[in-house]
Amino acid sequence: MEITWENKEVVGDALPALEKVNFQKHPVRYKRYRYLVSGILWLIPLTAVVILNISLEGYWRFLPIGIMLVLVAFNFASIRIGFSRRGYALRERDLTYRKGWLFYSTTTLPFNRIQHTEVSQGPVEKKFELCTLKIFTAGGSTSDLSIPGLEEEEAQQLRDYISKKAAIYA
Amino acid sequence: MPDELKDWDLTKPQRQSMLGVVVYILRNIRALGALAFSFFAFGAMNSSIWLVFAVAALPIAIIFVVFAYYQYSNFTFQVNDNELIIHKGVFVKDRLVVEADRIQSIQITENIVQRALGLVALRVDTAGSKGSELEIPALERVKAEKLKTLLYQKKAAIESEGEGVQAEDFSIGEASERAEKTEEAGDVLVHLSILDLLKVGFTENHLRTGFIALAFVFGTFSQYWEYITDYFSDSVDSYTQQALNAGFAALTLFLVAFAVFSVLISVVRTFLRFYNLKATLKSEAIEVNTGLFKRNESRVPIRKIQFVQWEGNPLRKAIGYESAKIKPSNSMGDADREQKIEIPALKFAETSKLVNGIFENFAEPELTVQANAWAYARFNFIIGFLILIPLAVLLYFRVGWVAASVFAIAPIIAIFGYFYGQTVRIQYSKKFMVIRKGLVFTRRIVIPSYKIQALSVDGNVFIDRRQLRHANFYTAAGTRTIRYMPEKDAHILRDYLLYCAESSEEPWM
Repeated sequence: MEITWENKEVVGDALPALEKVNFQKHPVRYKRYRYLVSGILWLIPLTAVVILNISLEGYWRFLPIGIMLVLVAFNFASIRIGFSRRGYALRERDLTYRKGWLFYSTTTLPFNRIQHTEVSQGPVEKKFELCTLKIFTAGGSTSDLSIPGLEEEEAQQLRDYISKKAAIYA
Repeated sequence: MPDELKDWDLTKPQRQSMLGVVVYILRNIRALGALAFSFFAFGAMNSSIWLVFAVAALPIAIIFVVFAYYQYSNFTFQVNDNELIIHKGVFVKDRLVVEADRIQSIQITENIVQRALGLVALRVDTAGSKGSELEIPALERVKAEKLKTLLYQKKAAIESEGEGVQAEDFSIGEASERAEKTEEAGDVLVHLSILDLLKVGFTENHLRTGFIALAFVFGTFSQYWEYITDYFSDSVDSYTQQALNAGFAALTLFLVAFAVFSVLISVVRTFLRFYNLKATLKSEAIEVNTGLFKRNESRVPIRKIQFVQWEGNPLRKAIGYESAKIKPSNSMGDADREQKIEIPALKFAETSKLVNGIFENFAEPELTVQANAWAYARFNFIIGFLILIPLAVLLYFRVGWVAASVFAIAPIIAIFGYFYGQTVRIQYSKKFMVIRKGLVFTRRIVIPSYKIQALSVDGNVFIDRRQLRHANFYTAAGTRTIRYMPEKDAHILRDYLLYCAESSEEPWM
């Protein structure tokens, strides 16, 4: 349990670097899940525009539909490209989650700062047999982390692993 | 300890002061305030409502009193072993239990009603409690003080039992002794006088806003006066001229009034919040008592303090003051309302006393990372440009292509961005990190490195090319960010701070 840190006062290359870590990817059906969810969300404004379209005349009436289709395409592209960059990494003492395409972020949470963990599953997630792992820290929600699109078993294992680690290091 | 409290046995359920009924009545009335207001609004429209009111007044009053009485009589509290237990509720009964070692801080407050009745409210903050759930709203002061001391003693005793985690190793007897000792002692850090309050009130940022508004009015006024009079003198008759004058006079008057008003507001606000503020630095906690009508006595254990943020503005700096915000770890339910203790006027000598009192062995960290000032300039330029577009379009219809000259403002905004960016930096060491930013309104944030509870490094396509990153530092008391750091530095900083947090075994919240 007790791990001695060797390079005590060293800065820079001697410290374990996060960039060298391998990131675990989500199962491919998580991508399909996200297509479906945003597809459903887009359906509402799309229907509205189509209905509006029927009552209009002239070629310019296709403009709103066109703009919306471009946005949908962009959204799907960002899911597709973002998917390949999404992933989590476990190290001995922390957990890192990386996401995003045009705007991306890499968040790291030390195990000894975790308050509790939770696995949740929505109705659509259930269909896809996916789970979301939520990790809570102290003091409000700003630094809480949630990792969606995990295999059910994987999520449970991750949670057990993290709670065990959190208990050791806390 | 006064003699009357000798037989006050807290292991048995205790009620609050009987006068608490009054407190409850007033609370309920306040809670129903919005509803009552809408009734009155109805009444204004339809006078027969008043008759209904008059008839209903007595039964309503009785219901209020009876309800408040039950609220009072069903509310009991006791301290068993190491737990504070509160029973309460009229229709829905609640039993709240807090273990002493889960207590973050205990606050004693009094509002104007409680003061008139000679009562105080005692609030217990824990890491997981919601807002004011754990509150005993009507206690005599001596009892409140005793309960507070008792809970702190229990907490200290439990924590000293915990093996090795807390460095302080003392027995229960010693703990209570020590707790009592610190109750007496303490180093008064600041005690604000009326003059201090006036200084603080006048140097709030409102004053600056007011002055800028005034300067703007007078500046523009005198500059364009000639132009305006020339333009109007021939074509406009004296009546319109007069109206115009009156208009300008009214505008000026309004702005002067606005400035005076804003200053007045700041001064009043300062008096209400910081009247008779007294900050005491003790060996394990910092206590701040403040407020005119609503006295607020907060005590934050030093261990719970996540970071301290100093803020300065030119006026305050000129009179040798800066303000400090002390941020303890948030209660979870209070996530929106960031908890903080503010000391609005610290002299520089007091600042260093505060730093050394809160952060043991504080030393300026040796490593520095500077944000990229050009990135700030670019960002400001683009944002400035975008904001100026509508203005230019508007002006185009008035003056034609001359309107394009407004874009000359964009470089000026960019230059400000550059100088601001130059002030943004982070210093760090194994023990502390210090974030500095601000050109006119300066900010200095000191965070013990091991208090970091998460870190994120963000980027986007716009700053990719220049290899810049934003770094977010999450603590249990909120997030602080540094934008536009060189990627390499950001990564080194992240790895280093993670090492600080992960290798630390000190309790961080």
